[in-house]
Amino acid sequence: MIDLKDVLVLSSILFTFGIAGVIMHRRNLVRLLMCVELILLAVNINFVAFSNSMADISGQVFVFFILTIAAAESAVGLALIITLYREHKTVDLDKLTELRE
Amino acid sequence: MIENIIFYAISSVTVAATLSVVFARKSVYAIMGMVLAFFSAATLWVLLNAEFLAMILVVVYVGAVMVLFLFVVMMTDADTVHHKSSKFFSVILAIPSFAFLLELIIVTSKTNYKVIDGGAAFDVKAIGAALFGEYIYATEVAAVILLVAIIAAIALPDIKPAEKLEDDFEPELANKDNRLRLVKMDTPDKEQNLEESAQ
Amino acid sequence: MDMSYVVILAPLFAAALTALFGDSFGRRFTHLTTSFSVFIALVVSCILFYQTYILQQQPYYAQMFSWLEISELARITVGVYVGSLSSLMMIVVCAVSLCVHIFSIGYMEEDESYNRFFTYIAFFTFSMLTLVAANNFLQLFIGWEAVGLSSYLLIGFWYTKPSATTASLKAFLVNRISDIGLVLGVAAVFYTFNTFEFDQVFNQISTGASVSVINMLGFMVSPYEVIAILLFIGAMGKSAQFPLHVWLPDSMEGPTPISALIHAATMVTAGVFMVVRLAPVYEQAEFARLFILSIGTITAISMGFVAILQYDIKRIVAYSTISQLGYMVIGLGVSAYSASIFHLVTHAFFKALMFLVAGSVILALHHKQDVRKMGGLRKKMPISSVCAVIASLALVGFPGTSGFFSKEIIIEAVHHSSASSVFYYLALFGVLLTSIYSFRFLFIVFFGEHRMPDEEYSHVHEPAKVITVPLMLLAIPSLIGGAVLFDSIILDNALDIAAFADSSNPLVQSSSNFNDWVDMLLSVFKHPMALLLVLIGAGAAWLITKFDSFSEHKPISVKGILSNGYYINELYATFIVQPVHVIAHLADKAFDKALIDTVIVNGTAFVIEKSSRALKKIQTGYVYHYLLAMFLFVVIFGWMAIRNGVTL
Repeated sequence: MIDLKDVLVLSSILFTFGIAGVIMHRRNLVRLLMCVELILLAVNINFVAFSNSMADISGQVFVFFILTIAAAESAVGLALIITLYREHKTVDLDKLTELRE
Repeated sequence: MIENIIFYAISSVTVAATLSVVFARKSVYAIMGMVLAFFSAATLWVLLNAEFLAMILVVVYVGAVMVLFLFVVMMTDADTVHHKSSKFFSVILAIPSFAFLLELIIVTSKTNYKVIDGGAAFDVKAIGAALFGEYIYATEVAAVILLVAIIAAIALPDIKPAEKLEDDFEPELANKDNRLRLVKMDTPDKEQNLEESAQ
Repeated sequence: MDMSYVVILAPLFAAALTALFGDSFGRRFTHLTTSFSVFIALVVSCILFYQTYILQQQPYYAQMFSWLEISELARITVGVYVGSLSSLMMIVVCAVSLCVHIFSIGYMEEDESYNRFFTYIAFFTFSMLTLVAANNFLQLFIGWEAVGLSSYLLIGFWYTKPSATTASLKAFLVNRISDIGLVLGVAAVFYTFNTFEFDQVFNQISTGASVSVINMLGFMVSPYEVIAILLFIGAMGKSAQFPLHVWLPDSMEGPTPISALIHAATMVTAGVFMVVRLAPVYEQAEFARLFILSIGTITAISMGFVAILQYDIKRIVAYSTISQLGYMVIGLGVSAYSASIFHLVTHAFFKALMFLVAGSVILALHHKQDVRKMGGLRKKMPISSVCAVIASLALVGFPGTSGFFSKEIIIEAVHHSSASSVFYYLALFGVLLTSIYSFRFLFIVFFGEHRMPDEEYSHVHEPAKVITVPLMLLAIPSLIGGAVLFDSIILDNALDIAAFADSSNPLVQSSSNFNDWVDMLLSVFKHPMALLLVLIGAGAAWLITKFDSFSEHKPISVKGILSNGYYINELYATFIVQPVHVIAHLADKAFDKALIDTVIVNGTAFVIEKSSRALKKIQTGYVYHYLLAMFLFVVIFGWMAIRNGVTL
């Protein structure tokens, strides 16, 4: 029997690395998006674990939705990155300063 | 007991994969780490009696999203952008990160959760019933969002680069050199004037 | 009696018309409109007086509309209260105003701002009528301020002349000082009676409703005394009583018709009118009456001295006006309200006449006002001279003239009052002074040899009819007005003043000796003292004129002090204006410039700018900076939550 708290610790680790990654990969948009996926994965693991231990199907349904939204998000995000790249020939966030003045 | 051993093993793999996602030098390696992380997470979900979601995760993420990421990395200069973090910044990031992890662990370990012995398993039929029964509206909305995302993903890269505004027009700004111009002019001095008037 | 509105509104309507269209319709339109409106007002006020006095109708008390409704108690209305007193005042105001209107047609002929002038005087007439017809304290106050405003505008009418603008400012400011008293008085009235309406206040007094004592700086004072004195302080400014008289001599900078209308006949008597209107209040305030009597006596005597030594034709008349106002105030001080109003009415006519005569002289001499350059004008200006003689005789109270009846009855009332006999003798002494300055005015201007160049003298001539007709119009009431009105006002209590019912009232006692005005006239033979003083004064005036060197008086001498009006202006400048200047300067430097400008205004800007510059650095524009900050705060707050024992 898997202890719930062990799973939670695992997801905590994933979550923390995700956030740290987002801040670290501040220039590379693709890596940044990947770290966001990591955060979502941590959340999903939590949902699944709770759904299991609390015998509630809602957790799994929510994971389903989150997966849907995450897929949509990464699809749009990546499309945006492609557009940006066409426009500016780079995905370096530090060089995208049009709104900053 | 064997479950626990498998869990710890898989967890270690997941953490390792996550580390590679964050710290890999090249984006392609990071994607590979990501794929590994998703695979191990899917395994974990099987252990947690969520077989259907595990399948979905593998199919959707590893099969579709990660491939997309790969394409993007290949199409753009994402791999050439290197982060050059200063030591100062790393420390600033590392300390709160560890503190945050610590906080999360403390909170989770302190909390008493309602746990049902042995857990509960749901088959695909139950999930389907929930999705198209209780959560029918949410499902509809999710479907619409997906549709929008599809349209966006198709349409966005198709947008032509906007006509660049005429950036060449640069008004001449005043600076130290051209603000004031001193011109030397010949003026008849006073004495001359007096002499002239005297004459 | 709704036509009392006509009296008030006709001049306002005319003023509005001329202000709006006067410039485009020409001078004829201007003076015809204003004069005609005043004429209508005069006719209607005569009808009103007929109704209230002859037909003995009740005073017309009406509220036109509700102006402010603060609570059930404090309801401020605009309306009219027209009894015989108000209608008599209306007649005086309109009559003098009409004469001045006609006179001004000639006097202001050469002025460019003809239209503006007539607009102002029509507006003044409206303001004065509002004041006179007011039925509550706030409306009285509005009229009071409106006449002050028109006075200010008209003194400074020739605004390109610096002396005129400063004089108008001075008049305005001095009146503001006294207005503080008036405003406080009105507030005290409301505090005591819970109403602004005249009739309600009078009702409460006559029914003997108990009033709460006012705590003034720890002294428990009767509210009547407080109200009476505060309101009288307001009257002191408007009616130019010592020591707030300083604005009136300077106000002579304005056009002469204005001096006649505003600064002799009507506005300056507003204070006297107000006290009479509020006679029931003043009857309850014994100490206040003593105060009023003293102020009046001081004013009458001291300003009489000053008038003797003036060389400016208008200033002579101005100081004599202050002195005569002193007489009216004396009458108020001994509860002889009817006598004061009587003197007010006769004075309005003969003093307006005197000013208009002065105006006619000034016009004939091309705006020269120095009496040292005059003399002998009687041959050149016969009508003006005769009018001047009539006005002077009325002023000194020569038996038979209007001034005789009014002034004598005031002095008689002082004699019969409970006040110290000192006041009686001072009042009599004032007659001597009046006689000296009046006859000196006559002798120095119209008699003797002329002191101007012969050529100039030969060109002097009587001005046009439009000037002389008003003089003659005013000369009639100056001569016979006293005899006509004596019976009704003094003996019949035409003004319906409640104090008259009291048999111990000095005026009742002094008038009980007479059956009609003939009796009064004949009393000269029984008590020839006043007439004797007049004759002595005439002789003295002749001597003074004859031996006057016509040089400037030395500043530090009796003459110098008197001719400069006791240096009161200089005293104010040294002891009030200078310290205020110093304080204002200090406040400007220390408070305004240093504290407000530097510390508060610029300091705020400085702090904001510096802190903005510091804060600007936080706005790097890098998303990860924001993210990091967010993350840090999540960590910190999470830590705090855990320390407080938060669990999921």
